[in-house]
Amino acid sequence: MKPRRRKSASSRIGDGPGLPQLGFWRLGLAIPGLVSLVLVLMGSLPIGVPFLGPVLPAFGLIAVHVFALQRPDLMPHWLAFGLGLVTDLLSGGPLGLTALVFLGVQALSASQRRVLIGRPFVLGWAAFVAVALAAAGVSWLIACVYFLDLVNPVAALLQVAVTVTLFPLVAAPLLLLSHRMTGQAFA
Amino acid sequence: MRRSNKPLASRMVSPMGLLFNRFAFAFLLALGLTLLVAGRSGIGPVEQVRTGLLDVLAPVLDVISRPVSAINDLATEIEQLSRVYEENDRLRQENARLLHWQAVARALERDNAQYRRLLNVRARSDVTYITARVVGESGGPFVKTLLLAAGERDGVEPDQAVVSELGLVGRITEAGRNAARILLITDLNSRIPVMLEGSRRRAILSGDNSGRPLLAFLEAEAEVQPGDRVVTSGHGGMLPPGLVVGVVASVTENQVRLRPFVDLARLERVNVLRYRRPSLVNDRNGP
Repeated sequence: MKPRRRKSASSRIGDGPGLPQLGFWRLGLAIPGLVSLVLVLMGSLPIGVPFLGPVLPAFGLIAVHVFALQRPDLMPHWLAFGLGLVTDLLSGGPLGLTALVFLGVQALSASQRRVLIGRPFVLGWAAFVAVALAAAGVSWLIACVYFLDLVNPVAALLQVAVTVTLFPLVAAPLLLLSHRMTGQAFA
Repeated sequence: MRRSNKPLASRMVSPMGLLFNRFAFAFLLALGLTLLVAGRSGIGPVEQVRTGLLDVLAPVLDVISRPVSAINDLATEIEQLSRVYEENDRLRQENARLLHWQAVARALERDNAQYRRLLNVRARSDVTYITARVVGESGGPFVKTLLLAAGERDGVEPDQAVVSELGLVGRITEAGRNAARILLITDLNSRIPVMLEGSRRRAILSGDNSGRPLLAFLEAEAEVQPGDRVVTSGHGGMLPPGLVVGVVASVTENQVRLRPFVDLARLERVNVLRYRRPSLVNDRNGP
């Protein structure tokens, strides 16, 4: 029997187990990883936004959070870690810093599935604010220890503000993608 | 064979899956910490691996940054178009002023050449340029770097100075075959020997990840005011002397901050200086 499609509102951040029920081409399972990689690369493009200075939104963080929440099977620990390593390589920052942060975000977001799946989008957004702040706090602590200096936290907070502001724009297509991959309706 | 309809998540939370998951998490956590320690202390081939991977990633960034660059160019053109009359008027006035300066500069050039001949001064003309495209920014809050689509193949080497048409941008810290990384003058790890152009007082330009780096170790008796121009001193032999860096932005009791001439957030092309450092060792004959 064909699985019954549930009418889900666009304001919902997720639904059900969020896992493949329809036969899916094996290669398609790499899509979240590839999309996340593209977002990580986009986060390194010289966009030239004057008021931001060299701080750019952490698109990779959004991707890791959304996919870990929606499809933890397609955003495993190693993938989150790998995306973080690529971010570190591109940024020239301490190698391993973002990798550890993304690993933590993946574990944290995946552990909150029961709390967040099926809740209104605004709640998901608020949860991301908490995740982004925690990630910035951990990054800042690691950076302080790494550089043996009290690193200025303003840039990290600015990045959180920009990333959180852009979250709906980036997360919406990612949610749509993960819903499509689960074969569930996303109105 | 029929595939199991059991959702993957439930398969993942099986005891074996859970154990594997925890092991993978612990392993990656340890790997991340090891990389941090190795990178900090320079143990192992972390830098070589990083430079090698930079070569792989830079061409990808080069391709995907081109549309962004095109959009940026278009936005700049539209912006300029909207104030073309005003700009034209400004340029006319500036042109008149510069023509006067050109006459002065030519006279000074003649005088300089004459004095050099009289004093038998050896002219230094050992700086050449490599122009390259910026394909990536660090984007992160703790490092201020740029990625360049030029590497050792083009003559780019670590420690070379990078300038734009307005002034100093930073210096090369890593150079792969096709790509290189620039450490901006605003980065926490950047230290550039500079001097006040007018009084010739020396200082160290010290980045702190803000847009206004500090002028550290400035002599106590040095008179400094907002608006004073700052140039590289050339001490240490790493950078050529006399490269314009910026102007003093603020002077307080504890710190002097500089406003760079270059808008570091909006760089598309830069020049890497190939500068032969002064050396006591004769390069041609070897040590």
